[in-house]
Amino acid sequence: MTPLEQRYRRLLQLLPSPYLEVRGEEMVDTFLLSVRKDDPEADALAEVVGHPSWGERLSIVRLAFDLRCGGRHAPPRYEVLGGAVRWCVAAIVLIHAVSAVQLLIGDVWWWHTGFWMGDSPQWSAMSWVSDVGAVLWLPTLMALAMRRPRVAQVFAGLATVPVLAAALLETRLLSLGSASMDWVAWGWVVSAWLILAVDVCVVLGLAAFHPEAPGLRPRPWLIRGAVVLMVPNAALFIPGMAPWLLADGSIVWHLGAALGAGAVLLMGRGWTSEQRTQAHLGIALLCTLALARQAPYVVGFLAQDGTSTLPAFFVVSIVVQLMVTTAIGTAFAIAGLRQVRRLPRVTYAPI
Amino acid sequence: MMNKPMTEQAFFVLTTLIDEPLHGYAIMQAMTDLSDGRVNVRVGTLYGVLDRLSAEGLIELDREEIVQGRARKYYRLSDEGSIALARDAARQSANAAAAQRRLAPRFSRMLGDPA
Repeated sequence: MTPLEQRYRRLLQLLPSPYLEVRGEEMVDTFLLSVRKDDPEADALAEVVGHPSWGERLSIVRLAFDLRCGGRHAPPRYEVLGGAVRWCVAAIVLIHAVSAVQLLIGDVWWWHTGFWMGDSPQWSAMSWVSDVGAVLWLPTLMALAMRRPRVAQVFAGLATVPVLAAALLETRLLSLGSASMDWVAWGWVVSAWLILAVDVCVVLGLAAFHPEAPGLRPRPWLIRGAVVLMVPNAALFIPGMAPWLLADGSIVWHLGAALGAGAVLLMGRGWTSEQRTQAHLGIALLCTLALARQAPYVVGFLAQDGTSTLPAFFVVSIVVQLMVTTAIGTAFAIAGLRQVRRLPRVTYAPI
Repeated sequence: MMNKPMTEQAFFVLTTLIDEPLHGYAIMQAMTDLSDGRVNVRVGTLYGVLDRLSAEGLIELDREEIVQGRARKYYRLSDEGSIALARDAARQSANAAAAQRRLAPRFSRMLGDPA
C-alpha cells in the first residue's frame, strides 16, 4: 500500500464504518485511478508524497455529513439523527430571528422614547454591524421556510461575520488589559468563541435540509411559540422593570428549549416514534448548545472574587435557567438515545 | 422515480451510462468529457450521487471485477433510469427552446440596429 493510499484510507475513516465496508475499496480504486497522470515518474512521486486535494477532502467530509444526516433512503438511525439536527438548527434559527425582531422593536422603542443612541458617538460602528448581523437571521428563517436551504446558509454565514468580529474584539481587549486573572473577562472571551462556534454549527447544520429531507413548515404552534419567546425581553419595556433582571440575552435560548420540550410533550403523542425521537434528540442538542454558549461567562462571573457585587436575583435567575436547561437536555437525551437503541443497527446493502 | 428536476451531476452520470456500463473512474472521466470540462466531480461527490441514483432505482450494478485486489463495480442505466433521463432531457430541451424563441427577436433587433 502506497503512502498516498494510506492517506486516502485515513480520510475515508470519516465515513460511517458500515458504509466503508460496502464502498471503501471501490472508492479507493476510483481515487487512485483519478490521480494518475499517465506519467510513470510523476505517478511514482505522487504515490509517495501526494495527498488528497482539498476538494477531495471536502467531498468526503460532505459525504460523511450527508450519510449521517440522511434523507429518505438512509438507515433509520441516520434518518433520526438528520431529523434531530434539522430540529435543532430550525429552533436556533427561529430563536435568532425572534431576537432580531426584538432588536428592531427595541430600536424603535428607544428612538420613540428619546433614548435612541444611534446618532451618538457612543454608538460604535461595531454595534451597527452587530445589529445588521442579527437582523440577517430573519431572511435566513424566511429562506428556510421557503425551502431554500442554500440561500439560508448564505444569510446565516453573513450573520456570523459580526460574531467573529466580536470574538476577535473580546480576545483583543483581554490581551490589552492587565487583568489576565480576570475570570469575567476570560469567561466572556471563551463564551464569545463558543457563541461563534454554535453559529458556525448552525450554518453547517443547514446542509441537513437537503432536497430529500422534510423542510421547515410554519405550523401554528411554531408561530405561537415564537411570540411567547418574545415575552422575556418585552418585559424590559415595562416601566420600573430593572434592566439587569433580564440583561442576559441567553434567556431566549433557555425559554426556546423549554417551549420546544413542552410542545414535544404535548403534541408528540400524535407523532410517529421516529418523529418523537428526532424531536427528543433535537431538543437535547439545543439544550447542549444553549449551555455551551453561556456557561463560560456565567462560570467566570461566579468564580470572580467580586461575586457578591452581583445582584442576588441575577445570579439565582441565571443558575436556575442553566439548571432547568440541563435537566431538560438530560431527560430528552436519555429518552432519545433509548429510542435510537431500539432502531436497527446501521447497515448498507451492497448495490 | 424522480419527480423533481435532476441535479446536473445526476443528469450527467445517467447520460454517461447510456451506451455501456462504466465503473466509478470511467464515469468521472466521461462526465468531464460530456460537459466540456464544466462538471468535474470528486470521488466523495460521485459516490453520493451513485448512492442516490441506485436507491431511486435509476442505476443498477452490472458486474464486479477484482483489479489489484480491489473491487471495481460497473454500473448500468436501468429502464427507470432511461425514462427519468429522457423526461429530464425533454424538460431541459423545452426550457432551452422557450428561451431561444424569446431571445431570437431580441438578437435580431440587436444585429439590425447598429446603435
